[in-house]
This record gives sequence, C-alpha cells and structure tokens, in this order.
Amino acid sequence: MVNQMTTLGLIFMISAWTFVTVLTVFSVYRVFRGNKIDKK
Amino acid sequence: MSQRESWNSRFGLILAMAGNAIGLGNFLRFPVQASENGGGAFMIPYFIAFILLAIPLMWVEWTIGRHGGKFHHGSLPGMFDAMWNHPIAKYLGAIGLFISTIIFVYYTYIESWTLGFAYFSLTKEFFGTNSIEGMQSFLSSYQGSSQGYFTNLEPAYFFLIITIVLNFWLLYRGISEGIEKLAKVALPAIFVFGLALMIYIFYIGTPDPSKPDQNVWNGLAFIWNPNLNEIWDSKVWLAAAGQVFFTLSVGMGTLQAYASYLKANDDVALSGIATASLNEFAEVVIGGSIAIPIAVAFFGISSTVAIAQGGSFNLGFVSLSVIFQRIPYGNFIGFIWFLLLFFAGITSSVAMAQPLISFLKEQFKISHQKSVSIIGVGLFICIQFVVFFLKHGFLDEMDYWAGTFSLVVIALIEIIIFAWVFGMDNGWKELNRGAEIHIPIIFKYIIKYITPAYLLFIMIFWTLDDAIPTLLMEGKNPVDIPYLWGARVMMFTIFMIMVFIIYKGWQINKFEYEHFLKKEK
Repeated sequence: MVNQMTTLGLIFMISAWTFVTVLTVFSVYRVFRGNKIDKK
Repeated sequence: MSQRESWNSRFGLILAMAGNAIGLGNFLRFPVQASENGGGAFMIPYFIAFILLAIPLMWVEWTIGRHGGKFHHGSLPGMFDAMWNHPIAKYLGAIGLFISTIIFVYYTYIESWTLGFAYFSLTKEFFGTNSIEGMQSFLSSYQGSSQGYFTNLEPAYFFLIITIVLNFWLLYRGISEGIEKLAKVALPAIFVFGLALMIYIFYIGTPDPSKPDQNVWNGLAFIWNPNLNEIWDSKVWLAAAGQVFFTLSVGMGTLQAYASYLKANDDVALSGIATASLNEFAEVVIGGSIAIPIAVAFFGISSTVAIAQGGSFNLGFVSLSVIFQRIPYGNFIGFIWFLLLFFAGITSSVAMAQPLISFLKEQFKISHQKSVSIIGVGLFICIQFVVFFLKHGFLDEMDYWAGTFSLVVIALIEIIIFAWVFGMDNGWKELNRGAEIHIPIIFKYIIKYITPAYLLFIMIFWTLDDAIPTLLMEGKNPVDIPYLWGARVMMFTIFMIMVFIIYKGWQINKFEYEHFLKKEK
C-alpha cells in the first residue's frame, strides 16, 4: 500500500498547522503583553 | 474564611492549565484517531468541534472556577451551589469530584509506565527485543498481564511508587510552590522535546533506501491526505468531537479547580484561549508528527494500520520502542520520548488531585498537608486493584465510566447550570469581567444553544452505541466479569463517599455559605 502526500493533503496539513500556530502565538503574545497578575 | 492560596504569575497559571490539558492523548490518541477517521478530512469536524464545543466549554469552566473561587470553593459541588441555589446542585457536583478522583487513580499507574520505559530506554533494557511481538510481550510482562521478560510486578511497582511520591511531593508543596513550578519546567520541556523529536524524525526521512515508499513524508500523508467520503460518516464527527473533548481535559473539574485561585477580576477569556491553543499546538503540530510518521517510515502503511488498530499504547510503547533500537542514539531518543510522555502525564495527574484536596481543606477545615496525606493513603489503597487486576480490564472499566462517559455528563450539566440556570446574561457578564480580548457576541448564543445540543447529541449517541453494551458487558470474557463488577463496586463506593462528604461538609459550613451568598448578592 503506497500513500503519497497529495496536494489536498498538503493544503490540509499546512492550513491546520498555520491555524493552531497563529492562534498560539497570538494568544501567548497577548498574555505576555497584559500580564495583569504579574504587575500586581 | 481563611486566606486561599493563589498563583504567583499569570503565565504560570496558563502553563499549569495547559499542562493539565496536554496529556498522553495529545501524542498517542490524536494521531491514531486522525489516521483512522478520514485523515485530513477528520480535521474539518475536529476544528468545528474545537470552535463550537471546546472553546465555549473552556470559557465556561474557567468562569465557573473563578466564580466559585469568590466563595472559597475549589471544587464543583461548591461551584454549582454558588451558581444554583438548590440543594441538588452540590450533589450534581459530586460527579465532578468523582471523575477527577477516579482518573487520578488509574492515570497515575499509566504515568508510571512512561517513567519506567524512560529508564528502560536509557539503560537499553529492552534493546535486543526488536520485534513488535517481542515488545508486546515485554510490555505485557511489565504490566503483569503475562509471563515474559519480567516475572513479577516488582519493576512496575517500583516506578509506581516513585511516581506516587513525586505526585504527592508536588501536591504537598501546594499551588504556587508545587504545581506552578512544575508547569514552568515541564511545559517548556514538553515543547522543546516534542519539537526536537519532530525535527529528528524529519531528518530520518527514508530509513531504508531499498524501501523508498516507507518514509516520514508518506507517514504525514497517512495522517493528512483527506478521504472526503468519510466526512459524511457520523462516526467521524463523533470521533472528532470526542478527541477535542478529551484533549482539553474539560468535564473533569480540574480546570475549574485551577481557575478558582484567580481573583474576581482576573481575565479568563484570553487565558482560556491561550490554554486551548497551546494544547492544540502540542496535539496537531507535534503529536501528529511523531508516532505515526516514524511508524510508517519503519514499518510501512499496512503494518502501521495494524499497530494503530492495536491502540495508543501499542503505538507509543511497543512500536516506537522497536524503532528506537534501529536508529542512532535510539536509547537517548527513546528516553526523551518517554520523558515527554511522563511530563505530559504528571502535569495532568497533579491537576486531577486538586479538586478533592480543595474540597477537604475547605469543607472540613483541615490543613493542606493533612488533606494531601488523606488522599495519598486513599490513592495507594485504590491503585492496588488497578495494578493487580489490570489484565482483567479493571483499568479499562474505570476509564470508560469515569474517564469517558461521565465527562460528557458533567460537561452537559455544567453548561446547563451556567447558561440556563445561572442565566446566560449573568454568565456572559461573568465571562467578560476583566476580559483582555473581545469575545464575539455569537459565542453567547453558541454557549446557550449549540454547545449543549452538541453535548446532548454526543451523549445520546454514546449511550446507545457504547454505554449500554458496556453496561451489559457484551463480548467480555466471563473470567473478567467478576473483576469488572469489582471495578464498578469500587467506583460506586467512591461516589457514595463523595456524596456523604458533601452532605457532611454542608452541614458544617451551612451558615458560612449562606452569609457569603447574601454578601455577594
């Protein structure tokens, strides 16, 4: 059984990786920027 | 009421929350689920469930926790009581206390296997056992399920004791000195180890040039190539919803317990998103790029399908241990892999003990150390059954009722209490208090209508498809049936103990809570 990466597979993988990476970077950056508890 | 503990820093709290969410499932369960349920097509229902189910539940749990913390409640019975002034509310919370406690019992044992295998890998204990069947026998003899490399349970017991001692040492030190400090070390380690393993696996590429089809790239294709026909299959949608649900550790009462140590105006909106996204990064990017791709590169697609069908442990402990013997510095790479799993496990297990610790401290006014000691003794007694009756399905029975089915039940109860009893307007106001991001108003309606409907659909389907056959023990080996009943008796006993201590706790603190509720109103 051979299962090579298709264009659609690549699109799905890159889209999913991009979505979670952007969400992670955005939210962690915002947490660092407004670290309310630390400031207290 | 006495002063409660608090988190030292916001980032420490988020790391602890993410550590709670990131567990073995991110690295073992996700790739198996994705590859078995349509590959890339699985990700469509997966992300829809993430937005409609996971994010709303994450916000609801953080909010319930922070709200309960105002009344000095660190567990679901008190949190529900603070939101719904009805005698039954606190008893519904008993399910939450039950879930986290039961999972803590068996999860600690699984966690100890990862520590044991980290040691075996570093010392090359299983090197030489280089077939799948041989490693299956190695694992099974380690667990005491059969005779093989190990002739008794002593090694498993040894690593179990170390794991228990480590867990309770951290719990003994408390929220900021134990759990938060662990998260600040373990979470970065999980990401660094995970990304390093990912890069190493990509570097391996095609391990055997005579078999060019067996390569890491085709392993990624196995996970990501979409089979779009499967998107119309309701089982794929249920599998995706189940994976999203389990991976974020919602429905356990642990996120609420951690959030209860926040101040009334601390943000929960951005923190909830940060926790969920860190977990998703660990799962989708790292979890999907290690176990399955390397298994395909070494064994080919057909064998990997068979390995994946054998379950997550077959993939994580058996097939990867064979691969570690075939790659340069394999003992060290294996050590890193199992240590990653151990860190993922221990950051989750300490969270599972937290609701009961808070409950005992708050309801019975006993010291933190005494509360931890009582739970330690209780865990040690209960875990004996898991260790010695593992081969009879004792752990699986506990995992099904407490770690699978009850999670959906408690999630449904809490979202109904939050959105329909406490009221969506109150809930929305509470969620947005101190929020550092603007939550789109559509989520108010998603939380009120769509998420409960989604959960109800999952629960009905699972009840018909899984719960009834499991309850009737269909297809079980007759030899195992007495042990499965034993697991049920133990769980029922623990549940009744929870109900009793809630009853006693409220008798002791009744007037204090009434005073608090009046003051708040």
